[in-house]
Amino acid sequence: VRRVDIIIGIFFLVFGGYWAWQARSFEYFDQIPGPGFLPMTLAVLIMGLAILLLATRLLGSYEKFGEFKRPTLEQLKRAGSVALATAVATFALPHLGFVPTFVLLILVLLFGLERMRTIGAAITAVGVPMAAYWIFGVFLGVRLPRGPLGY
Amino acid sequence: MEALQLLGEGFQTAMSPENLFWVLVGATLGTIIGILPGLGPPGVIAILLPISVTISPTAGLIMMAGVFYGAKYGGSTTAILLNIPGDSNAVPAAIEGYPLAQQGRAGAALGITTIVSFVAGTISIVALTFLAPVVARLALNFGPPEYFTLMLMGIAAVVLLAGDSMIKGLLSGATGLLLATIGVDAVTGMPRFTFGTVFLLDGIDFVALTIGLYALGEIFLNVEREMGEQRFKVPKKLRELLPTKPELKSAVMPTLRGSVIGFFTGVLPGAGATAASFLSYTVEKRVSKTPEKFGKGHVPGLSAPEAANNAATGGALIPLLTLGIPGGATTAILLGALILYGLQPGPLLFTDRPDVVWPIIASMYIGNIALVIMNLPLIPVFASILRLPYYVLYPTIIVLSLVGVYSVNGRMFDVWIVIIFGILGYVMRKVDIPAAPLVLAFVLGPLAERALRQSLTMSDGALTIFFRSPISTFFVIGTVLMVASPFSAAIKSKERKVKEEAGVDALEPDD
Repeated sequence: VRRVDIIIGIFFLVFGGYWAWQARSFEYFDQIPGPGFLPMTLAVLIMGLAILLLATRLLGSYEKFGEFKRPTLEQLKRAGSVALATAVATFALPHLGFVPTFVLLILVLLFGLERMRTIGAAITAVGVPMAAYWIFGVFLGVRLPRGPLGY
Repeated sequence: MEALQLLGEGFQTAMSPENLFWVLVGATLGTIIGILPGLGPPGVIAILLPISVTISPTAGLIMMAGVFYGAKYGGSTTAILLNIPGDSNAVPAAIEGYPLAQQGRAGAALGITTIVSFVAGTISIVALTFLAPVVARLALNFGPPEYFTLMLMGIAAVVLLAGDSMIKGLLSGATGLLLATIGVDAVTGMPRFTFGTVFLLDGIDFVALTIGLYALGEIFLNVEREMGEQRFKVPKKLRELLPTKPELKSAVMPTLRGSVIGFFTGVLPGAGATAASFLSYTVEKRVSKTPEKFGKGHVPGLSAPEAANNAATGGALIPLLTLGIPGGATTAILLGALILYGLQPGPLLFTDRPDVVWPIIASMYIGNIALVIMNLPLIPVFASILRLPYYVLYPTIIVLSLVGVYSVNGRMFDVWIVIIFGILGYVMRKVDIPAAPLVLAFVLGPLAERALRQSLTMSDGALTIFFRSPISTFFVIGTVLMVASPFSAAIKSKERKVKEEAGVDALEPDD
């Protein structure tokens, strides 16, 4: 946990620094606070907190460290696969259309990742996107992305 | 007494078969909209606007009001069952309700939110009936300094939402505030941190951020394991699905406190149900004797924000009807509907058109009863969703999350935001950084920044403006107390520890 917190501290130090650098281009204070006032103040605050986090972790602290739930490589692969499949589906959504994209996404997740090659999985893959399309696209009239198939 | 008589007449009109039908249509539609993530009441009322002009103004407004308060009933359902906060004000319901669902208490959580919604909704309608003019006058005393100090008190509550590590909690809150500055600056109109893309001019969409952090973040965490089995315990007996007596008892005071906070926060334009919900959650944690139970599925933590969320509806109608000031997106569209019907909202509306105003208020009492009757029997049905194997549930959550977010603005950019925040939510869970402070600060940040800059413009930069009125002074004191409370608790705990150690040393024999 201590090492992870040190990495978090460094991350926030860089993040705060980057934001402060970006906020320089906005007016900070001219009798009244300008558009840069809050971003710059917050960026400095984040850097200060990051330094505090680093100091407490490096010098020892009575504050609780929290818990680091270290994932195994297999777990990371599974979570990463779902995130990647969702991202690919998002990329494909405007091109393929709503229903085909989500049918494919669920097929990949259930047949590929979960290895659930059952009728129930196939029904889920087709039924969920169709139901979502009907509720949002037809019942609520939301203009959902359409592909070559028209839905 | 006059209000009672007028309310009675309002009931006569509202109880006509036509109006009763529209009450039920509005309440049912509202519940469905509330359950679905994304598209909230403003979008649906806007869609219904062309339809509503074909019916009488009373019936049309009764239906639209039904959508407004009906959505509050359904809002917490997906938050409890699937960790998808369908709307920003349902985030506390996800924080407390989802852990209850994981413990096999989804039915109880849904039952509590339904009952609490009914009680708080009724309290706020009673307050709307009898206190509207007084509360409207009080709301007029809220200028930018009062707003800023109120929001500051809300933001200060991040110290209460921080988990094990206060520093990490504060980092999360500060990041939320920083993310809220993305977009066009409300005071100067200057784009900030948009990185050259037009999609960021409106800032990061709140629904996308919360659904990403909560729903997708949770999925990425859950799918680490094989998904073949049912993930949640769902009791088979109906009795075990319902809240127990001690659970209901523990919800009484939080509901009353939440109703009061929700009603008054709802009155304030711009603050709305989300601020009410979070304020109530943090106040409840502050006054609780068992604050350590919050975030782990604690009934008072679920009932207080749910009450505030529902009570805010009655409050929000006060500035709309009595002053013609809409406090949020839904009431802005309702204002449009009133004008469309040729009604002029303002101080004279109650006296000039009692034939319209009082039936709407009366219909809210009826709608509230209809909603509780409709929702309670649905609890076992909703809870049984969790009996589905997780491999069916999680792709459904992904699809609902993405389409829900897309439905708000119709932009693919928001869908990408969900994924980015989903990954962020996963990482934050892994390294134990709480998401709640980020969300709270993100909601209240823009309101606070605008009010701060308006206040300092009024005072030429003098901070004394925040001490000129008793209301803002009260909130400043509240802020200081809120920030100080965890530190004083830590000092007390350390002193106790030292005393205990000293006591042990005194008892130990010398070498």
